[in-house]
Order: sequence, then structure tokens, then C-alpha cells
Amino acid sequence: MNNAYSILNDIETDLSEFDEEVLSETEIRQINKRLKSRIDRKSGTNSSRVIGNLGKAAIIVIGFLAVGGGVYAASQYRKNLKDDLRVRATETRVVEENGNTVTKEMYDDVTGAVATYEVAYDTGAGNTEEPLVERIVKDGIANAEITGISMDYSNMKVGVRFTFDDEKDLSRLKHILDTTSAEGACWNCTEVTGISLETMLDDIAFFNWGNRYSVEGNSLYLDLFMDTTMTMEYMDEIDRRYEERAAYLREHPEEAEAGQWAGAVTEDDIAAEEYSFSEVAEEPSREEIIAGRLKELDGYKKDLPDPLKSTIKVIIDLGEDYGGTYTFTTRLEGEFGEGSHERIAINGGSAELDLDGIYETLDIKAYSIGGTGLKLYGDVCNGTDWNVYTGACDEKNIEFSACLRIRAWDDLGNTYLMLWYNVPGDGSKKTTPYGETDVDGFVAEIYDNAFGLKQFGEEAGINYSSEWADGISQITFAIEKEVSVQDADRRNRTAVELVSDPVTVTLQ
Amino acid sequence: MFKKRITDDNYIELLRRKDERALEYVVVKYGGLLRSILRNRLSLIPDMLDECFDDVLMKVWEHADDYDETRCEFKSWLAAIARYRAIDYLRKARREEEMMAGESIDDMVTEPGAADPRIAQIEDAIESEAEQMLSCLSPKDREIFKRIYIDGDSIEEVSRDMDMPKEQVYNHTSRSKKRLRKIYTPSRVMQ
Repeated sequence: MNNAYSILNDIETDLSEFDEEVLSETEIRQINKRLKSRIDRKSGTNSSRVIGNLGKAAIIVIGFLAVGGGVYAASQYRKNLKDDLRVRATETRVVEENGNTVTKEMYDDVTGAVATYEVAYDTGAGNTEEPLVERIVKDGIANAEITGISMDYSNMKVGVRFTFDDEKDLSRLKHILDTTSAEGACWNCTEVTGISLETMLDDIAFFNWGNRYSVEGNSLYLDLFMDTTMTMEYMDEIDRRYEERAAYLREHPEEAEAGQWAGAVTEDDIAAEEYSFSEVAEEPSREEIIAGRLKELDGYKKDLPDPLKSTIKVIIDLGEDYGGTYTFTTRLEGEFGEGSHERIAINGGSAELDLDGIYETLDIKAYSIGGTGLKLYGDVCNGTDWNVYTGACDEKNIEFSACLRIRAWDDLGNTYLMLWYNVPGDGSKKTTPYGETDVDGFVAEIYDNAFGLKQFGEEAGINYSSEWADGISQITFAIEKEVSVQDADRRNRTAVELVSDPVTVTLQ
Repeated sequence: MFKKRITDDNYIELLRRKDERALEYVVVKYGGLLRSILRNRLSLIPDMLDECFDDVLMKVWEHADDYDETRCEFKSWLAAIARYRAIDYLRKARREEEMMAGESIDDMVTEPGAADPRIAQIEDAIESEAEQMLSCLSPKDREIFKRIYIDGDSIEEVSRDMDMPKEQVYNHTSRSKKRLRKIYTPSRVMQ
């Protein structure tokens, strides 16, 4: 015997004298957090993988700027805020099994967030005495897990993974999904793939789109993008009114031709112009339609459930061959901070695009690190002259588009596409080759929509990643120009090139 | 890749391999029992409960290799560690009480702590726990140890009554003391 802890094997304790207490989930989390901290302190290093990643990915420092900039040094923790958060399952463990439901907990070692969720298996599998988690492997049903949840403003992404045992052949499933995707349909096009999907907040179905899939080995990965401002009921109502309006104009072509409905001549035009709740029986002015539309939208938004306080439910039916229906139920837990992340000022590079009437400038001035990763901020100016552009198209007998966007890449070999959106500027103006125009602000963030990313990737010949990887040591970004041309024979050609000096971000 | 799922069958093995999930498993599975034991043992110093709770689990983490499943159930080992650590916390509390008592004006004229009922309570708790902890000795060792160190019998008396050579009595007591010393060694030495 070497020490007391060995001798303690021989100590007898009458355990019946103790009334076992029940620890709440919160208490368990707090205990685990304290223990992790002590283990880490004890080891003197961030030796555990969990803490190791936290230390590495949590702090970001600007490294160098090749030209026109300087050396920047700043650090900021990657914490979750209400408008920018993620819980990615670095660790997942089974908490409980009850009937056909398994309760699991996932822990994000970068943001420190925790989420508990349930997976209900509507499999019809027989033996109910055997633990469910053991049974599903034998029955060829997938071990279903949430790989992550993130929120960026109103966009919620839920990642799920289905891992089948080695005997399950996913090649047929992969073939169906690949074929469907190649034809431009989504993987949850039930009629084609047999897979159905519902995404819900507090049992209200919400619109999801651009969902990503991948089949790797015996695992099926899905990323689901839920627009938390768009209920399916709202979408259905839009469709209904569109159909109603289209039917009306088919019966009254003179109104359509007269442009009485703001140029609603074709069905596409109707979709563009009347993509709203506006009534069709009356003849309001365009301003009245817009005002009514906004009023209606405001009222609608007030009734939407708060995603941070709602039960999030994802129901996926993979079909009988792949285990039937899997229902994931969870909530985003924890108190997430208000406001936005600190912006660190940098000289992040600038670029100007001037191509046959299309004019755009981009000037990167700051960055921040949030739950969902890196964001860039700056000024944007769009001074396109559509007359010049149209003239150029006519003259060359082509159609083309051009824009500035941001490419980022990391030291792990991943490449990312960052697209920007306008935010109000400070009121300043800029003189462009086509006149004077406003200078707006912009926010650029990683582009993760599966459909768009696939298309952009094919055009650029780049395999873009849809989310920032963990364990990155460096991220470099630069502005790139993208020009797409369609010639008279409707052949498309796209070219992309970097047009600003790259800035490297070093993770510590 | 999936990590190996923590189950009743593998958590001890994974604990020894320093898989933090195994420690979390112990918290979920035995946390309630552990807290119950410590609440019972540390009723005099309830504010130390959480700290001691974490301390016990850290000892489980650090000394998982010392657990011997052929000798006891894991929860018995955990309970023993809890009781052992509880004694340490009680000792620490007694020292602090004595220091505080020594600083008071009243104790300037009396032996520090002598009349302090709280110190006496803590000492009682320690003795009571120590008595129970003798269970780590074999029945024969326990009897010999009690007669000599608790009842105050001489080696000769024990030798005569138990029909045992004196050298053998010495051997028994020496072995017992070694075992007990290991258990009651202050934590800073064990760490």
C-alpha cells in the first residue's frame, strides 16, 4: 500500500445513514466548471483539450499589415452575446435515458456555453427494457446529436449529426442527396429524397432555407438555417396572396399592362412587387401598400417568440431505412449579454471597383470577435450608374455583375467567404466617377448559406468553409473582386482576384 | 469522431486515463451521496461544504489509480475519501477556532480554546470520525489497537489476555499505526 487513498479502499462506511441528495443541472454544471478550473490550475498548463482550445481560440491578436498599415495588437475574448452566440458541441454526454428519449448535454469549450437537449426516436424499435442508447446502435438507427446552435441576429443555425453503425450503408442516401442537390433542390425536398424537416420555436413552425448536408463515412451532417422572423404561416400567407393577386391579374390583364400595380406585369414582377400581405381587392397607392405592409409586419414581429426564451424543436424524418423520425428539443440557456462586441480599430485594407458603371469602394476599419466568430466593419460606398451599366451591357451584348467581398483563410487550410451588408453611415459623401453618393457603414460576416456557398465556391474554384474552425492560429483576410459575365450565348464566366493587402489575425 | 460513451462499465477506467467526462460522470452519479456525507460530517462548518466537496472530487481525480475495485465498491472508496477529507477540514476549522480564541481578551488568561464549546464540538466530531475510521484495520488489529491506545492497557496485558507473544503485539500495533498514520497524515503531506 502506497498511500492513504489506497488504504481507504478498506474503510467501511454505512451508506444507509445518508439520504442521498439530488443535485440540480445547474449545480452539476457549476461543480464541473469549478473542477475543470482546478484541474487546469493543478496541471499548470492548459493541458486538457477542452481548456486548451479555449485558451487558443478565445483570444485574438492582430498581427501585421503588409502595406499601408502597421502592427496591431489587441485581445478580446470570444464571448456570447444575445445577438451573436454559439454553442458548438466540443463535448457531448448522455445525461439521461427515458423511454424513447435521450437527454444529452453539450459544452462549447470556446464560448463556454452549455446546452441540454433531448432526442426523441420515433423508431418503433421493440425492446424497451434495454437502454435506448445501446439499442439504437444494434437496430441500425443513428446516434443523433446536435453538433451546435448559433444565433446571429435573427438567423439561427442548428447543426445535427446522425451516426450510424458500421453495417449501415449510407451510399444510397448520399447518392440521393447529391443528385437532388445537383439539380438545385434541397435535401429536405420530401417528394424527392423522402426526408422531411420542420424547425420550430415554441411549436410554431419557422422558415428554414439554404440547409447544408454532408455524408462522411457513416455520419450524416446537417446544418439547418432557421429565419426566426419568418413563420411558415407567414410564408404560406405570402404564397396565398401572391396566387390571389396573380389570378386577379390574369382576369384583368388591362390592369397589369397599365402598370397600375407598380409594373406588375408578369408573375415574376408580381412576386417582386407584391411580396407582402397587401390586399388585392382595393386599389391603394404604392405608398399606402408599403405603409400597410410595414404596419402589418411590425404587428407580426411583436408576436414572434423570442428565440432565446423559446423551446427550439427540430423534427427530421429520414425515412424508415434510416431510423424514422428524430425530434430534437432544446433551449438556449444562460444569460447572454446585451449590446455588441467591442470593435478593434485596424487598417484592414481598402479597395475600389469601377467597371462600366458599377462603382463600389470598401474600406475595412475594425474587427470584432463574437460567439459566431470574426466580423469586420468599415465604410462602403456604392455609386453605380445604372444607365452607364445598361449601356455597356447593350454595347457588348453581355450581362455582367461585379462586386467587392472579403476572402479569409486560416492556418488550418480553410477558406471563408465574408459578405457585407450596409448599415447607416455618418452622413458623409463621396465623389465618384458617376457623381456624388453617400458613404455607408458595413458589417461583413462569414457567409454560410449552403446554396449560395456552393455556387460561389464553384465559380471561384474555392471550397469555402461554412463556419470558423476551432483551433485556428491565424486568420488572414483581404478584399476580393468578383466579376461574372454572361455572354450572348448565355455562357457564364466568373473571375475573382484579391485586390487589397492581406491582414493577418493571430490567435493566441 | 465519437468519444467513447461514459458508462458504469468504463468510467473508472476513463477516470484513470484522465478523461474529464468520467469525473463529470462521478459528479452526476455520486454527487448527491457525496454531498449528503459531507453535509452530515461538516454540519459544524457548513460554509466549507462546497470547498470540501470539490476537494474530494479532486482527490478522486488525482488518486483514481489507488482505487481497487477488488476491495470495495467505488462509492465506498468515495465515501471514505469524503470522511477522510472531512476530518482534515474539521482539523483546519479547529486550528482556526483556536487561533481566533487565542486572540480574544478572555483567552489571554486561560488556555486558548479550553473553554470554547465549539472547539470541543469539533474535537468530538474528529474523534468520532476517527473511531469509525479504525474500521480499516482487521478485527484483531482493531482490538489490539483499541486496548492499547484507547483503553490504556499495557502490551503485557494484551499479550497475556490474547495469548500472543509481546513481539507479535508490537507488530500488530506497529502495522496499525502505519496504516492509520497514512490516513490521518495532514493533507498537505499527502498532496
